[in-house]
Amino acid sequence: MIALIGGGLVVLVLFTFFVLRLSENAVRREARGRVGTTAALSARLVREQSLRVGEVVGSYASRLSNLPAPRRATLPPADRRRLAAALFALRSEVDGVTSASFTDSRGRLVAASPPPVLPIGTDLSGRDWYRGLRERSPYLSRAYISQGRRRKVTVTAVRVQDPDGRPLGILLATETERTQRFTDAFGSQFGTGITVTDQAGTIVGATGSDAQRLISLAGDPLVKRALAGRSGTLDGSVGGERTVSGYAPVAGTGWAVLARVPASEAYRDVPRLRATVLAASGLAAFVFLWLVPLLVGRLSRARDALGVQEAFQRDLLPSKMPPGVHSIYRASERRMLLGGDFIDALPTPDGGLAILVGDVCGHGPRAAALGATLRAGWRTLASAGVGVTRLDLLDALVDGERRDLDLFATLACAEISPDGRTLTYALAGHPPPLLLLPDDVVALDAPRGAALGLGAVGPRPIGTQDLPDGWALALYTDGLIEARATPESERLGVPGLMAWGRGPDGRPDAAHLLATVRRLADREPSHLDDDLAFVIVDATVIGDPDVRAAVAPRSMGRA
Amino acid sequence: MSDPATDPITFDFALTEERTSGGTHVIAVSGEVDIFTAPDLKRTIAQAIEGGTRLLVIDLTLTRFLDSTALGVLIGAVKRLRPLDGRMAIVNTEPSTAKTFQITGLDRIFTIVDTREAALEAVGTG
Repeated sequence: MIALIGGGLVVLVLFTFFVLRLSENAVRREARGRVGTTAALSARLVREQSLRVGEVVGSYASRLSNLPAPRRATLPPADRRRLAAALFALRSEVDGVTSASFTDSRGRLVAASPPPVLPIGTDLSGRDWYRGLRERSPYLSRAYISQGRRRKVTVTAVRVQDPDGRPLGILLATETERTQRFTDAFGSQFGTGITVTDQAGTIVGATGSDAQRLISLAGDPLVKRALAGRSGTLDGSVGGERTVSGYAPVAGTGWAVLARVPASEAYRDVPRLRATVLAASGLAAFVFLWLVPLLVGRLSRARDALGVQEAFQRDLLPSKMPPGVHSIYRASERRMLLGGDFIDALPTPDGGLAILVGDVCGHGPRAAALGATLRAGWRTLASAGVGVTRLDLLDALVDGERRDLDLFATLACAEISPDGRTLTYALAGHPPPLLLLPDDVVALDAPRGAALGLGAVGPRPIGTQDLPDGWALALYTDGLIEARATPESERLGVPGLMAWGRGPDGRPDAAHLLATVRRLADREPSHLDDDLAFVIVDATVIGDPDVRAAVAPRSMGRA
Repeated sequence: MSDPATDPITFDFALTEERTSGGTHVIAVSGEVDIFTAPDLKRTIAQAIEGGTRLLVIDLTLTRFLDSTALGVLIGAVKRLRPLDGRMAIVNTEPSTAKTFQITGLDRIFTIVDTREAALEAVGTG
């Protein structure tokens, strides 16, 4: 049983482990997928915004395509006014643009709105957008702190060309906080920390961050990956808090986006899942640790008890009956198998036959044990030739053995002489044996002796009967005469049993009696209120060929 | 078959107890006393004896049937009373029960009478 439980628990633990692993992994994968999707979505939104700004700035740039190329960063007055009007329009009409500037094609400042902090003619060709415009236009710049207002800004730079495609200059739109507003809004909306960095890994905007400082995440492995154009997700920790991060590049800008969610938030389904799985496993473990031993224990105890009962029951019956002795034994199922009836039959020392039927009042192991004891005791008496004459010796056995004042026993025993002509019998509080004669059925109800265990009452009186040809003798317990032939009918009683001793022709018939009792016993045992024992012998049991011949027509050999 | 009057298990078994002014405990039994109902009778008798009863009358006037378990209970009662100098009498008029007492030889051990008055007289109280 230990092995069964142990094996079961090992299987259970492994099963739980794997279920947890599989389901947790599934949940984590799904949660990570969500974070990765958030990063990709943010990157896309950032890209859309920058493209739109680029388009708008480009449309203003196209208005400048008929300007003359600036000389020494200056324009003729009329063109200067037109340029100033265009820059003012760009700054004031486009949401988020805080200033607009124009440089010549070599990066020297020509004009700005509002009026520039830097002097006209300042060389801005060292700025990243100047180099970047060689690759694409519009170009979204890195974040930097503006010289004048000391604010973190990004610049959308667009080449300005004349209708023939010759470069005229560069139009610059400066924005502050657009990206920061986006990351803050996204963070509060979806509970996700979004960080947008420029092409160098510097934060342009990050949920809840200081908008006016330049902070570099260039060393962050996720930022590195995103800047390299890769996207994905990763478990990690930020400031000691476990997080799930997604990263994605912002296509067409060189920027990168990180989305970070606390692990507790991303995996909030995991604890619930774990609790569910563990609860189920705990239940299964409970079943194994408590219920299985209980059931197995009960089962084995019941089996043991049945084994003991069967052993007792066997001891109530002789291991072997002499040939010619027919017996029926049924323990009442209402009494839970173990009965107190006992029977025996054995040759006497002089060659006759001794028969016993007894009944310990009560039921269960105590009654069965006393019954087995009495049978063994009587067998000793019978094998010494005093089975009928010294029943008083069994009184001591009952008084000595029983542990319950209520227990007592009755028995009937008989001896057939070796020549089959004489019957001696004794009754100890027992129902009368039936003697079937050729033309009569007789109840041997006298002389009577008291039951065993009523206090010493001395030797029981002995009855003697001459046996004619064709006799039969039936001994039984009260379970038979207290039985009902059908559930509705009266108890059988001694008279009823005597009637069963006659065949259909009305003549005494041992075979008929045996068959009728067997039918009763073979009927549903639950109909029996009490145990039932029945033993019948006829003249054929004695090895006298003459006697056998005389009774052959009615003997039980045919039954 | 569920009619209690014909169900062999619950065959209107009942016990009624009464204590006479003379101190005799009378237990009247009705119905059938068998393997299933005998424990009730046994418990009732045991409680009476533990409660100090020394004079006991078991009235079987309304008892239709006693099986061997019930006989055992009556034998046990006599044996319990014997060392306490107690006495027990049984009232019985049912022929089959009388036959059972006869067969088992218990008629020689029990005091068996026809009426409750005779039983009370037999145990020594009026």
